[in-house]
Amino acid sequence: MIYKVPKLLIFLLYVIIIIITSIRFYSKVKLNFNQLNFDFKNEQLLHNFSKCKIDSVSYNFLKIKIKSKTKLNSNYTGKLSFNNTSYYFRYVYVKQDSIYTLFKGVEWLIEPPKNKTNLYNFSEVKLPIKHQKNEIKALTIGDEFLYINEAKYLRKELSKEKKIGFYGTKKDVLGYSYIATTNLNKLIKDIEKQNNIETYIFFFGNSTKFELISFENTILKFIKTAKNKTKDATIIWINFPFTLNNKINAKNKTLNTLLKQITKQKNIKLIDAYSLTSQSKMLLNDKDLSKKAYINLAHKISKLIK
Amino acid sequence: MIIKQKYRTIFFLTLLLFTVITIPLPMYNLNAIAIIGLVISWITYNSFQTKKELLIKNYITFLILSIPFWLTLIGIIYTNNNFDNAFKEVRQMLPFLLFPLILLTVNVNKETVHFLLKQFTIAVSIASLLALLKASYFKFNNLGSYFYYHKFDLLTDKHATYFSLFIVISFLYLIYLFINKNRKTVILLSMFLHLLILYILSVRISIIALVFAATYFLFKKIKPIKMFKFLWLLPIIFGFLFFISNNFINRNKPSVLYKNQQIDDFTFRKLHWQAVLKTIIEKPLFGIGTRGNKESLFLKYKELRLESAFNNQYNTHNQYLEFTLSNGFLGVLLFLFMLLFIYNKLKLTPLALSFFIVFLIYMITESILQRASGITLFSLFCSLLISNIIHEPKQQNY
Repeated sequence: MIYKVPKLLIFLLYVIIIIITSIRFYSKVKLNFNQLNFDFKNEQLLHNFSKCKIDSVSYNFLKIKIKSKTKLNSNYTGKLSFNNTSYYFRYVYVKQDSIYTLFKGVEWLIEPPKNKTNLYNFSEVKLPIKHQKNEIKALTIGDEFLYINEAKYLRKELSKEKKIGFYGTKKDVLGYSYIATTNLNKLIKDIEKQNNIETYIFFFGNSTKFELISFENTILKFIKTAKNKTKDATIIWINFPFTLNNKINAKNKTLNTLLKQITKQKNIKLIDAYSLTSQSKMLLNDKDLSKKAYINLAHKISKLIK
Repeated sequence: MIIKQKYRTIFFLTLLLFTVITIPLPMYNLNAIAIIGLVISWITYNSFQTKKELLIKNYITFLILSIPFWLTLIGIIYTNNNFDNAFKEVRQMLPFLLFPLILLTVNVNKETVHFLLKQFTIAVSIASLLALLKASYFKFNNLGSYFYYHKFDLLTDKHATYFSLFIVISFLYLIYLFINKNRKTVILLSMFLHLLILYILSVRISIIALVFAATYFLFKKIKPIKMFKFLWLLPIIFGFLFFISNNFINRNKPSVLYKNQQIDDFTFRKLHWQAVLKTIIEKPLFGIGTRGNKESLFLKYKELRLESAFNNQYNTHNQYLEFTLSNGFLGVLLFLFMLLFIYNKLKLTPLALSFFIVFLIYMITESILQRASGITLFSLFCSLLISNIIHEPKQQNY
């Protein structure tokens, strides 16, 4: 006797699988498609520059030929328009001469233009990020290790792991906010400007020059500022990473020892970036961190955030 | 007793169905859950005595079909990577142990084979339609065009090459249905959908595999019928049309980083395989072991200035070379022996052999047994078809 699976059961199986996979797709869609995080309806035009032609373009690079010398700010979003089609991009560096403007570390919000012969309208816009309900308000504070090279993956990966909204005075290439400068006093002032922050994440790489004598006081000042703003905030400190420069490495080891004592005294959560980044494939070159390092750091941070 | 057997059979078939339809649909872990369920249903399906008798009867087939699993297990002994990492590969290769074990200890009839193939085709069509809907949403809301290659991946939740493999296998079954069944309009529409997806995915090896496999299948099934004498040429014509289409021409443009410039895929692939062959020569007999440390290979990529390969730590992109690298020439000879055995079993069944041709061709440019989708599809289909051939040797004219 041949037995068959009832047609109703087969139908139900497909329906259940389609529902489950659709729910999962919808729940992850903003993480996998960054353009959905931007509020295009509330786009604000900041500067309308002259028309330009594209010299060369790729997934992470744009070079345009533009007559006027424009002052650009990487906190804002670049926009190339032709007819009714717009191509939005964010970038890490810009280099300008009298004829060309070169954008490096580009992230296209939707997709790059394909046609290089068109005369595009070039403008700079403010494109806000959509914030989610009940998100954890977080502030990442540090130096260029928070925004150069592969650093964009730190906030991106954290967003995948937790419902987090990033705040700050600057925006990275994916549109996530942060605070970074090597001027420590300015950093303190920038922290004081941010309100209702629930999680503070400190990460200084090898760019900021901390003096050994004043190190403890500096760290305590940061912690005090954060706690004054939000009494019950989660404070996470990522220690100084490994580097192939022996002199800097030796100093980082000393600072990390001090940091360990301070964070223990003040009950601050500490992440050991030094041990993590001294493993293979964690460095991009002799000092900068690789994508893998930032992703690993994001996993460690997410475990400490409630 | 009969009622109990009915429910046990339906339970087993349902889990087998669940395993098959979750291969092309999004979410990898659904398929893993299905396989666990299948194992449980198999335990209750028939008695231990029956299983033992069937296994003893088919033990040679079982051992040969599970060769990739044994190679992975043996490779752990001498791997130059740590045990935990290597063991992950053994776990990943478990389908090569489970599917032959399960399917050779039950009697698989022709109706079951066709039922599962039909459902696989339906699942592939549903997965394609869902992805098309999502891509259309993005397009009509000016959120980008995802109707191409790896961008379409994000919507199918499967690597482009693997999804194209599902499409090709499914399309071959549609050809079989078109020849043998009614409802030709529905089948034609489904074929059109499949071809559209192949165009969007723009995976070149998919067209080559489809042309070879479909030409062979049509030649065997249709050529004897006078009025369809030259219909077998149709896949070749379609294949040519695909290769001169816009998407496929774009795929051949320089796009891969080499010495800080962009080169085309073919040139890159040649250099890539050069690096692999140089690494194989270092340990030719037994290879680097299971999940062996590929630092030597990655260094060769770096030496040859293959930036994309080095940065993304590419595998060999050739299943035959992959086995040679991991298990040496002895390992790849065993794998080739397994393939020869499968060919020998399937050679009198045109549809089954056409599926097998597809797998052999895909293995030339992709290490399809490095991902769960490829492992599950290959081991499940081979075990299913061979089990049916053993059980019903006189019913193999499909």
